[in-house]
Amino acid sequence: MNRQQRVKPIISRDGYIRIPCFRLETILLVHLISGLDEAGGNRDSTATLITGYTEWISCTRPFITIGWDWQMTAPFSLARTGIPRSNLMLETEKLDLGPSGTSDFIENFIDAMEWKKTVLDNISRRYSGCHN
Amino acid sequence: MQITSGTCDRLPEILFTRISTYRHKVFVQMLGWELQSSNGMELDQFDRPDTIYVVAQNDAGQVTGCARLLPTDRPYLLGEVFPQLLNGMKPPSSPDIWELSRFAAVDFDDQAVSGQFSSPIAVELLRKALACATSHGAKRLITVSPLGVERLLRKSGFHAHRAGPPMVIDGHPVFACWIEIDHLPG
Repeated sequence: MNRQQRVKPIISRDGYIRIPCFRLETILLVHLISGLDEAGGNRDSTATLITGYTEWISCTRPFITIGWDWQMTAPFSLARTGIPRSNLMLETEKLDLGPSGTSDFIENFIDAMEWKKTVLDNISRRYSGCHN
Repeated sequence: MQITSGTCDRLPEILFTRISTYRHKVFVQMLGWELQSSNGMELDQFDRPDTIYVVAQNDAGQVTGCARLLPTDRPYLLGEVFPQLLNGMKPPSSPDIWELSRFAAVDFDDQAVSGQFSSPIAVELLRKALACATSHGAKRLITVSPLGVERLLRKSGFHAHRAGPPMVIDGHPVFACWIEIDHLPG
């Protein structure tokens, strides 16, 4: 099978959606929801650390879901933090990469995505008017 | 800190009352969930004689955390109320898959209390809940929870992965999550 051929992903019995590693880069994700941390984060006027989460899903069913945390590193600048969370199990040669190996690929995938402006815009809209 | 587990008829009556009151305080008053409650106690149709509770108490006997366990071969929260969180998958129905719900670890005596899983006992309570489910035959757990529980699970070394994308229900992002018992952190 070459890389251009698509097979509709299915949910495995264990709940994971399994796809070959090389197919990850072909997945188109759309923004679902983003938010500020309510616990542990700090978004008052003296905030030194603003943190939050963002959730993205694939356009086709069954949905591939990927979420990750972020931190505001400068005004209007975000950086991904921590390990992403998803329902994906990536495979190579039909063998599971495992949670850790899969996360490594997803982290690179996220870091190549244009997600920061979308999240900032969403956060701005969602929380506008929250502060005096 | 003491962690106890059992069905409602095995727990002291006063403790079961304290669990219901604690759930009301956490889920209704603190988190604003729209749950049925009366007389300051939160209970629903899944609080049955066969439901297993895991409860943490501090030295003064105050409840500082709770969890609810149900086998999926009987009615359970995710299967009955939130099957849409399963990404099109049929809700599991098996005596070796249990549901974890109403999980909270908040110590209201701690002035720094700030979230549903803010208490330091959260991980220990989770570990005890999984051990309890295992002792009743569970090989895997599934949970319907706020997104924050996923962070707790992953940061604490549990093998957990989502069953589908989160959905905003009653204004709160919730999701379904698998917890694998074959890999519990030490």
